[in-house]
Amino acid sequence: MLVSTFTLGELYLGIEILLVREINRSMECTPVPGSPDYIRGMLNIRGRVITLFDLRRRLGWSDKHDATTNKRKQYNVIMKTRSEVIQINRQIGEARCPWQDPVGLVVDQLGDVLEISDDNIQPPPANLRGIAAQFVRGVVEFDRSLLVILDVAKVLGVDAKAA
Amino acid sequence: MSEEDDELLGMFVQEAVEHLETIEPDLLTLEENGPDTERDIINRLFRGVHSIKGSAGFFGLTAISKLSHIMENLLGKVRDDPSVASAAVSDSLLAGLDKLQTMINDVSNSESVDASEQVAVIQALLNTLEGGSPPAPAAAKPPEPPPLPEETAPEESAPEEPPPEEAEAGPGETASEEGEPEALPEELEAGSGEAAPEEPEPGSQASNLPAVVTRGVDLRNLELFRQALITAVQHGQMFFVVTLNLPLEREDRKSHYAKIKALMESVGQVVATNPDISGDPDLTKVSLDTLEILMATVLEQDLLQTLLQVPADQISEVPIPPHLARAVPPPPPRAAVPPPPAAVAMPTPAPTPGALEMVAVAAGPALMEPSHPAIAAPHRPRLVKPSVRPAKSSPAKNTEAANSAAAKGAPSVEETLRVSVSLLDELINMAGELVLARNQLTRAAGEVTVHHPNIGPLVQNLDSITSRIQEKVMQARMQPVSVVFNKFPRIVRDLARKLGKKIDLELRGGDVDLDKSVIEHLSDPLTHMIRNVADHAIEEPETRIEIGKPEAGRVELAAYHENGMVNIALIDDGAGIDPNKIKLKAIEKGQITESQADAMSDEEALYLVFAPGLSMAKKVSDVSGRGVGMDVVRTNVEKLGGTVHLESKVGKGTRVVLKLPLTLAIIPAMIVSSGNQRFAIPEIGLVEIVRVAESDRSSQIETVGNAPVLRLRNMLLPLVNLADVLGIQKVVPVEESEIPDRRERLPDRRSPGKPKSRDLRMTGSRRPSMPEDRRENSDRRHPGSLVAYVMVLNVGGNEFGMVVDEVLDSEEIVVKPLPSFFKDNICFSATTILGDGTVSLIIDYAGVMEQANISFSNVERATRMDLDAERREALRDRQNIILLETDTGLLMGIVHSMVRRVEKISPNLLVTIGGLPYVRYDGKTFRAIYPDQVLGLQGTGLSVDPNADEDDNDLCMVVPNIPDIQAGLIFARIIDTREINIELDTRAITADGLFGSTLLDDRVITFPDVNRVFDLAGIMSPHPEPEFDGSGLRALVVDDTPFLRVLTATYLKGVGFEIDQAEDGQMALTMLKTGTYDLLVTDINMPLMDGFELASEVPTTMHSDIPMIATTPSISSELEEKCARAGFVACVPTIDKKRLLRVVSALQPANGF
Repeated sequence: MLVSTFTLGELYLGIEILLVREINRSMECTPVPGSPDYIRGMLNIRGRVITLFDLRRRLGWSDKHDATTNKRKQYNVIMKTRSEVIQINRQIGEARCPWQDPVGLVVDQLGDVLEISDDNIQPPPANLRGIAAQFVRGVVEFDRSLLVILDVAKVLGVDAKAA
Repeated sequence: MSEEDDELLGMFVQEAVEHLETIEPDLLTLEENGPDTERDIINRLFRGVHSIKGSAGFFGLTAISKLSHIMENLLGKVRDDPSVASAAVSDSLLAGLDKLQTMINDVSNSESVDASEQVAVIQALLNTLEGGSPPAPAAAKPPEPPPLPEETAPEESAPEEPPPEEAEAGPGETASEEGEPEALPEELEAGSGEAAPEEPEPGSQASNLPAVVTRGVDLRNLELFRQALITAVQHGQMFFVVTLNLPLEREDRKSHYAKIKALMESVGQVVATNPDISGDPDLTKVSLDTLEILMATVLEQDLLQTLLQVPADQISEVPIPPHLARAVPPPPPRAAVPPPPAAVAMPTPAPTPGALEMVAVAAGPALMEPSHPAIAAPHRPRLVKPSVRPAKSSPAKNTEAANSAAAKGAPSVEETLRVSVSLLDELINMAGELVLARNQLTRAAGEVTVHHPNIGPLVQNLDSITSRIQEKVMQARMQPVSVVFNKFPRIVRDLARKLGKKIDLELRGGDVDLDKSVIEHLSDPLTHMIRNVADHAIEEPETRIEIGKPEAGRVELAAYHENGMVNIALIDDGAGIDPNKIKLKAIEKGQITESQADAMSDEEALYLVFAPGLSMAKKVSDVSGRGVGMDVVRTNVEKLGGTVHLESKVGKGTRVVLKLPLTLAIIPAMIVSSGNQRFAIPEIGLVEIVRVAESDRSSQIETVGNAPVLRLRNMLLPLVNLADVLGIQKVVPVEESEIPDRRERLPDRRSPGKPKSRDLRMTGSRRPSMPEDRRENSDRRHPGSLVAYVMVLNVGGNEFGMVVDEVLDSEEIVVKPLPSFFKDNICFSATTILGDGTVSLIIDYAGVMEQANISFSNVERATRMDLDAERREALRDRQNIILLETDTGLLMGIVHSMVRRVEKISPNLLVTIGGLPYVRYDGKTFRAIYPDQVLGLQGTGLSVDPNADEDDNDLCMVVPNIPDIQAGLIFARIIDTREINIELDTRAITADGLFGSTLLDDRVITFPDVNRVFDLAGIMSPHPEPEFDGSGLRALVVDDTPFLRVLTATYLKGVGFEIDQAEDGQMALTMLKTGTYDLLVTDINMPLMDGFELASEVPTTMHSDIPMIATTPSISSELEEKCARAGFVACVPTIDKKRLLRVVSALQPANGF
């Protein structure tokens, strides 16, 4: 499968590219009062209201981490919605894309698009740092570094079964 | 299951639901009319259930197919002999229908639904009904009436016989039986007689068809089967020739044929066979290995094929020749073209009414004849005169579309297309985007137009097209309210039965369209309301008879358009709501106190039914009475942006009206900012916007029981700060300590992106929705007057104030759903995209209120009811004035009610005629008056306005609210409008024509007597001031507004009266009881005791014949009448000095003073 990679601090992360709709530079968004701190706000992209998740906060990183980043240089990874994914691949859509609303994840840096064989994906090691195991679909060893494949549904807090 | 199957299954469900929608009302009709039920309806029922059965079988949904099968059997019985349509039958069918609905709504689990009970009930009925008849249900042949046995028994049919004879035999027999006119068979005969020789159609028809076997009878020559043809045409049947492959073994042949025949007769009838086997029931003599069967059925070819399980090429439709069809209306013939059915609408000339009627009569008896699954005109609404209706109905095919259209009461043949809602939503979305882009383009085009003048019209064109697109797209989402209405006959029937009442429900306006989203949310509130009506409003039948009402309660549910909204009214002729009982109940529940109840009008009391937890049912039943009803109704309706109105008369009935917007997709909203963020506040429910300057804060906002409240006219309004509720920033408007905090935020609020606000140049009228009133300028001029805006909102009849920092704009916003991640947040209802492309949240005020935990019973009720003294105080405080500055820098305040309008005029409109200045404005010439010159007061020069536009030399002309005076006061500019407490100082500055002065923000404001100013300036009103000497007379002037009181007093003093003043009716009454007065001049609108109440109390004093004059800010003939009735000698506008004095002088002779 093709994976779109990016970094978050020291962490090297990947998302299955089929789930990604587009990536753009972080821009001003509208905060939603009363929402969890990991929801940065809402963004208008061509008439669609996108809910932006701040991945750093979602992973529970403290503000100390935040201080090292410049928000303006971050990127929004906009995900496809369930119906969009289902149009392309019904099976993946139903299994791994339970979110119905347009959403985006805020990340630090963009990486390459990599082809990864499913066989190489391993369960996350117990000592994985910076990210809770529940958000990890699996890891891939890659150039001495570890690529963490995100379980986007878990990151968004959407139950795959509920959808 | 594959994707395609999924899709097909979806279609099945959709279709089945549509069938169910028709079946239900039809079953109710069946129940109501029993054996007299129209044939059409029974046939439609049969067909609907049959289609469900057929398709369910296709998908292997055995549970559905089993249940619908047995229902179909029972319906078959009814169709064969309507006299069996007992209450038990319709009950069992309705029960079956409910089960069927459950199964279809959750089709994937339908197999696990247990329908055995319903099946057993129906089976039991069937068993009783059958009593020895042959197993094939549709083949049952009751002995009576005996028309056309030929049709059902092909063995006996003799195709060679001349058809006319048959035609005569059939209807003739039954007609005589029923005593119908004899002319009928002739009519038919004539029709056929004409047709036959004219067109040798049969031959050409046959040659067009695939040649099969031509030996023996030509089954495709329908001329030969005229009788069957007549029946078929009347019943909307079609003819098919089915070619049957016969097994080689002769013994098998018989059973094979019998099986097929039974199948065929379950859905239609076998007309003839080729070769003719009437004398050969065992088919032993048939030498061929194929048998052609001509059958008539209502089924479509594909359905028939599914049923018979024969290859498609072995079934061919035999079109009914037009000339034959024409002779026999109503005519739903299948054209030669196979599906799509919508395309085959065959022109069928409407027969003359006379002929039609007779044929329709003929159809009556013919319909009695057994085993005809005829559907005839599926779009025919029930309970209409059968004799006329078919002529009007077009030959709509028995397609699903036509059928569902019929169910919705729309006899339209307009072509329709199924479009998924998500596609429509997307279209709406994009139309919204288009509007946004259009707005941006229009803005940008402003600059470009200078260089490219031809851009203008292009943009305008785009503008109008965009608006039209948006409108049409919105229309596409509209659905008729009958979608909701149609489920109520059933609900009412069930309720009436359960409660032992009789209720007639009448539906009107089912074709009124509403947005799908509104329709979807309408069902629950309406169901609640209907249940309420059935349960409490309609009396028991005995009671109704006793009190002289018809036994059956009448309930009307109507939809209609009014004022751009859709009204849905539920009217009953039941017991009505007794306001006193409601009050008692509310007191019992602790929702109001007794003193509140006493103060409450009956109308107010009625609205208590909307309070949560108040149930008027005497006992809790499973129908209603748990106190969750009307409050839910109101909440739901208000969520839709609608309102609920209630009228009721005890013993007469109740009328509840829901006023709903046509659509929810685009709403007008105010864009406000709070805590540095912008929000949209829907304008529905927004009552007014009150601006509170920092300097006025302490006087206008105070704390009652920990909660900040705003004094607004005669009530205290609970306040919430939007930013606080949302947890954005800590800003408490009441506490002075917060000021530094607010200052800090000031630069933020004036972010560079926003346009600099203009100075306020507008009429002095109260403009609650004045978005541009942003105040930076005046802020600077009057330090310390940081402002907040209070949005006065109405939620469920309770008002509260939401404090925001700024009011930015009023926009039509496109509502977009709130992402599901925020669904828990009750403060937001949806999102929208603002003109600049940023996303904004739409505030749900009910949620804000809930979040802020405002309890109206604590704050508002208490304050509203019991604070006489405070209210008096609060009222005294407020006076709406317009602040103006003359070009010499003199500040003047004019009470807003004295001003008709304020015009901004360009200096070049000023002309001098005969040495006097005039203004040409709006086609009229106004005499220009410089008030400072007239009063002999000059200021120290125009104050410097740092924000004033250099080029802005425009002047302000104040046109006073005095009739017949065409003159205006000229000022350099308008500074502000304020609601302040005027403490008029009548000593510091005195001049003729000046009421006095006051200090405001450290500047002296003078208050001119506008009437006197015009007098001094020599402007004479066309009517000279009446001469009057009031010396030695004493008048009591009553007005709650101190300023106006002073004004009236000044006028009267001017003609010699001695004046006493009172600030409300109560005070005046006390004074009238102790003092001696010759004249009473009172304001009408006052707190505590208004002018009318005062007038009614005056006779109890010693001044029972004192002349009374009413004053009012605005006068109307209605008000004048009311005043006259109340005993006032006249009603005059408060500031109209001349009119007041005229009235006073007219009193003189009559009253001797």
